[in-house]
Amino acid sequence: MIQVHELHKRYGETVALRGLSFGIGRGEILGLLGPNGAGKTTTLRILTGFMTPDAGRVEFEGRPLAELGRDLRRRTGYLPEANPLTPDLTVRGHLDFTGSLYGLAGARLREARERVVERCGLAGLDRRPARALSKGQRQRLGLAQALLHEPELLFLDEPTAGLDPLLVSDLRDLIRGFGGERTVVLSTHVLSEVEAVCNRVLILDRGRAVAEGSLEELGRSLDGGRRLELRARFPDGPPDWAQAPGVREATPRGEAGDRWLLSVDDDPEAPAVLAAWVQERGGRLYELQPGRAGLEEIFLRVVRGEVGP
Amino acid sequence: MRAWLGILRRELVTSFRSPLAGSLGGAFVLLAGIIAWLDLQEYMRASVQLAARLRMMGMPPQFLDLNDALLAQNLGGLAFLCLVFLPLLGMGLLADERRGGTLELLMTSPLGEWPLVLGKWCGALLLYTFLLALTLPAQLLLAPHGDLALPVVATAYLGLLLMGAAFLALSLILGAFTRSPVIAAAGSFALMFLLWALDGFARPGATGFPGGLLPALSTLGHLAPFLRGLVDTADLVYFAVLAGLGLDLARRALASLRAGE
Repeated sequence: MIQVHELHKRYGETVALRGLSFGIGRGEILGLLGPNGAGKTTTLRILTGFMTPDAGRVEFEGRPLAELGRDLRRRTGYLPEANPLTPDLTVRGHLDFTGSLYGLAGARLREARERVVERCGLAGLDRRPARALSKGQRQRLGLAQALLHEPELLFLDEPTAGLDPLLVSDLRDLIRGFGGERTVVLSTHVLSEVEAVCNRVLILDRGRAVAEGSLEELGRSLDGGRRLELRARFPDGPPDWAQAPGVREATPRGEAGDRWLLSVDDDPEAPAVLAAWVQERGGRLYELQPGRAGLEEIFLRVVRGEVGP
Repeated sequence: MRAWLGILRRELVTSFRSPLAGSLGGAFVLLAGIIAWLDLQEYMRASVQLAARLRMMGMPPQFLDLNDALLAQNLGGLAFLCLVFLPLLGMGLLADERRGGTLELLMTSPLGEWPLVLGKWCGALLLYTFLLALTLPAQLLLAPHGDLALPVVATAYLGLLLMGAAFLALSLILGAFTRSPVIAAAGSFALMFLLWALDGFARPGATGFPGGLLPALSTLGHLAPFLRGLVDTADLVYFAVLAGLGLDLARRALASLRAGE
């Protein structure tokens, strides 16, 4: 749906993007991850058309972004990082105003308003000015504005920043529900958020894409092998996994002392070989399934340069 | 069209709900009232002196001409007050949108630059018109006390309205370049004051460039006929060109922001 080619952007002496390239497929929820200053917000601002790159290009369905202009803006929704609202305008005033920007009026506006009020949990707040809303309500209003015209493409910049855990969970459920129906680009530095809602991840560091793919693909790329999650009990305590055939690394999981994440050779026989080894040691095997590295491990190793793009 | 109206409606709603706009409006009307009252006191004092002098000369007592001695003074004071307040009314039009981040939402919506600029300008102009209308009773209250030239009052208010339209358009340009309403207000005031007083820089009787050009560009030079009850096409064109230029430059400034220049 979107192809980004070699984007460069600089603010004075500061280089924000240096040759960033990636693609976004229709219906995907792409997590844009990266430390502060990685170029996430600049990328979103270029994709939304708020900013133009110094060099490089963005194509939407094969056509240059600059050529589409207003047509594309009609099809996108955006929740910026700061979630800007007009303090003296009510919830309804915000939604009516947003509707006027996207050409919604009369019955269409009413239906759209009722739909987003219901979906974003803003019922009963119609007449409340933005200045009197809680942080969570403000965030919901920002999202309702972005969704009012039913955009195909949704850009969300740190949508759960500063929210309490309950609201974070609600908002994640809401975003997860867009999968397949809309294409979502979610910029965040909350790793658990990406794990919870995204089906693909792009890790940025100092203006470059340093890793891209699904969590499984990224986990596999860490050590070139595969991962297995194993739960077993041994009569003589935890075994020496270095002696197990094909095991490169074993990381204990949980507190019961019976669960490990094993990094093994990329061999289709590895699970069977490992199960046999456990039984040879007198162990009882309870679970053996494909495992994956946590996003935190992936992120830290990628950003620290321990694994290349 | 709908987007333009949406911007205008939001501008009006926020202006009338905003404490800042309320206090600015209140201060404007209060100061206009004080100016009118001080002018009236001065007129009364001068008229009493004139009556006493005439009586001493054995002539029938007579007051100063209401229109020449009071109305003209009052309208001049009101025009200067407008010059001071217009930058304050226009300072937040775009600078506040930039500072609050709402400009990012507007610029990533299908809204064009013209509807944004026109909606903002019309909103501010309506607020200014409303405030100006509140000062009208101070002039009309004089009517029972003499032969008040109502056509002069009408043309003067038309002139003040046109000056407001032009100056608010100019303040939009500065607001497009800064996040700070204070900088926008200071820059607008400097620009407006320069335009206002341009003819003061010209040598008397000078013609050609720049001597003759400066009075032709001076706002005061084009406002003065309105304050005297005269409506000249050249003055109407001057304010229309100034407003059009301001709006177009503000639109271009926004377009360059969108283009990331």
